[in-house]
Amino acid sequence: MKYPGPKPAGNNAASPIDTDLVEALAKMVTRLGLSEIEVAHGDLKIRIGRQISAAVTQHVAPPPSPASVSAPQLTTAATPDALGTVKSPMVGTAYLRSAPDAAPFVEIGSRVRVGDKLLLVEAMKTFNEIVAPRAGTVTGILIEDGQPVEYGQPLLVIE
Amino acid sequence: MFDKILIANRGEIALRILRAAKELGIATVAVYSTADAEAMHVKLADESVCVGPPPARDSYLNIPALLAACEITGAEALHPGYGFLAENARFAEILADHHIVFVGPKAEHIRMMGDKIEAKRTVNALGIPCVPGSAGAITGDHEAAAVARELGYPVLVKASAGGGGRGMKVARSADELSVALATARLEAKTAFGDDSVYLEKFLEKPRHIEVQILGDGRGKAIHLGERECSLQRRHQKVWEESPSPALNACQRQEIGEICASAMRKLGYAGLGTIEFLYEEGQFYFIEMNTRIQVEHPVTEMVTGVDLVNEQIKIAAGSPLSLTQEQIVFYGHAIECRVNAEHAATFRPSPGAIAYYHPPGGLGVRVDSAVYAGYTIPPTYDSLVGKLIVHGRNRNEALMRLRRSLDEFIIDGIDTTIPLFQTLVRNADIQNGLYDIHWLEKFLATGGMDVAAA
Repeated sequence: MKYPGPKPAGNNAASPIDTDLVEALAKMVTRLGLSEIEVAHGDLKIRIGRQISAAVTQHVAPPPSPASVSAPQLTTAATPDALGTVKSPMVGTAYLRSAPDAAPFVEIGSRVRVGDKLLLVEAMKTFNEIVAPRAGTVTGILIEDGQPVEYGQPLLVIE
Repeated sequence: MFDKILIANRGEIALRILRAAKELGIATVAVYSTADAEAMHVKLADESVCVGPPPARDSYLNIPALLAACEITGAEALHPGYGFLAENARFAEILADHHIVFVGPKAEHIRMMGDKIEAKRTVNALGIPCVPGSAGAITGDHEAAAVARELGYPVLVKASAGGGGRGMKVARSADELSVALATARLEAKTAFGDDSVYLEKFLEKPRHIEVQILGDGRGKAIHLGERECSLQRRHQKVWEESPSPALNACQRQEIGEICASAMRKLGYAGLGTIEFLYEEGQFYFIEMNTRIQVEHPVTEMVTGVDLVNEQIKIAAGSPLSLTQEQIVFYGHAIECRVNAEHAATFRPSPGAIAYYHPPGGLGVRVDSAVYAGYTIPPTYDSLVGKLIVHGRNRNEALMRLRRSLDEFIIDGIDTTIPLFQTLVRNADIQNGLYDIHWLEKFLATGGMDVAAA
C-alpha cells in the first residue's frame, strides 16, 4: 500500500512552523500510543491530536469508536501463508482492540486457537472480526491500531 | 476542484485518467488487484490500495472494497474509466450516498441509456433519428408480421436486454420471420433471462459512426465531431478514425447539432457518445454510451481537447470550458487497438513483454500502460495499447500510421500489429470504402492468410 511521502522541508519556506518538528511529534504520538502531545517553544505552541484514522488524510471523518457500534460483526478467516503471516482479506481500518481503552485482543506472545479473535477491520461502519486460521503463538504484530489496510496486507504472524 | 481522486480501473485507461488528474493537480489513488501490483499507473499514483485477488468480481467490480478504499484514503471523487462499473447506475447512486463524486453522468441517464428500448424511445422524442422499428416489445407473431411488412424486409429481431451485438437474428422474408422470432426469444431467455424482443429494419451495409458529446448537467452541451468505427471483429472495434471518410462538413455539423441539442434538453452531464448506423446518407441511432470510450483519443487529436480533463472539471461542478464555436476540427486521426493476440488467428497471447519500443515523432501518440519486462495478466482484456496517429489529411495520417506500425516493437507476446500493417496497405481501407461487415469478410476470405503462414 502506498502513502504519499513527507513533503520536503523546503516547501514551507515562508511558514513560521517547523514542519520537521510537527512530523517528529506526529510520529511520537503514534509510536507512544498517545492521543495528544503539546510542545511550547518561546511563544510558539504546537499541539498534535491523534484521530483514529490515517494520519495522511484530512478528509476522513473519524469513525465511531468500536464499543458504541451496534452494526453487525462479521467473522472473516484471513489465510496465513506458509510462514504464519495472517493477511487482510479486505480493505478497511484495522483495530487491535475493541475500544480505545480496552485491552488488545492479542499481544506478542499470546497463544491462540483456531477461531480466536485477533483484530477487527472496519469499513463503512461495519466491523469484521479477523480470527486465527491456525493455532499457535503470536510472534509479530505488523500494523498499528487504527491503521488503514489493503487486501493482502500482512497483519500478524502466528507460529 | 477535487483534492484527491480514486481511479477505479486498470490498464491503459487508468494511466490515462492518472495523467489528466496529475495535470489538474489532483492527488491520485490507484486501486488494483493482486495481478496488477506491477501496473504502471500503480507505480505512478500518489497512493495505492490493493482491493482484492485477480477476478474482477472480487476487485474491480467489488463495490464495498472500492468504497472502503475511498474511505481510508479520503478520495472525494472516483473515476470509473470504461467497462467494469462505468455504466452501473446503482454504483453511481451508492457513491452519491457516501458523498463521493462519480465522474460520469447522472445515474438516471446511465439507467435510461442502459435499457435499449427505453433509450431509443427517449432519444427519438429528443429528435435523434432511429432505425425504423416496432414501437416496443413484440407481443405476438401476428404483430411482428404486420410490423415487418410495414418496415420492409429484411428485418432484425433484437433482444431488449441485449446489446453489444448480442441477441440479434435476421429475417430476410416473411417465411423466415417466425423462426427468427422463436430462435431470438429462446436465445435471449437463455443469455439474458428476458425473452422480450423488438423489431428493426435490417441495414445491409451500414457504417458505424458515433458522435462525441459533452454536457455540463445544467442544460448546456456541445459536440466534438464524429468517429468512424466500422472496422470491427465480433462487434469489437479495432480501428477508429476521425473524421469519418464518409461524411462532409455539412453532414458532420448537422448530426453533431442534433446530438448536442438532444443532450441540452436532457440536461446531460459529462461525456457521452451517441452511436449510429449510417447508410445512404441517413443516420440511425443504435445506442448511447454514458462514459469515456476507448477510442476517445482520435477526437482529442483532431480537436486538441483533453476529454478526460473536461470530464473531471464537469464532475467538479465547473461549467463547460468551451463553446461550440471554439471546437475546430483539424486534420485526420486514426487509432489502432493493439491486442495481445495472434494477428491472424486471434488466439490470446498473455505473458511477459521481453522488449518494448513504441514509435514516436510528430503526430504519433501511444496510449499504453505496458513496458519492457511487464507481464500481461490473462485475467482481463487483451488490450496492450492504442497507437494513434494524426496528420493534416487522411493520406498523411495513413502514411504516418504505416511508418509508425513498422517502428513499433513488442517482443515476447503475439500482437495484432501485423493485422494493422496489412490493413494500412489495403486499397479499400486507403480509399475509406468499408462498412461494418468489411473486416470479417476480409478475414473470412483469407486476408490474413499470408500472416498466418
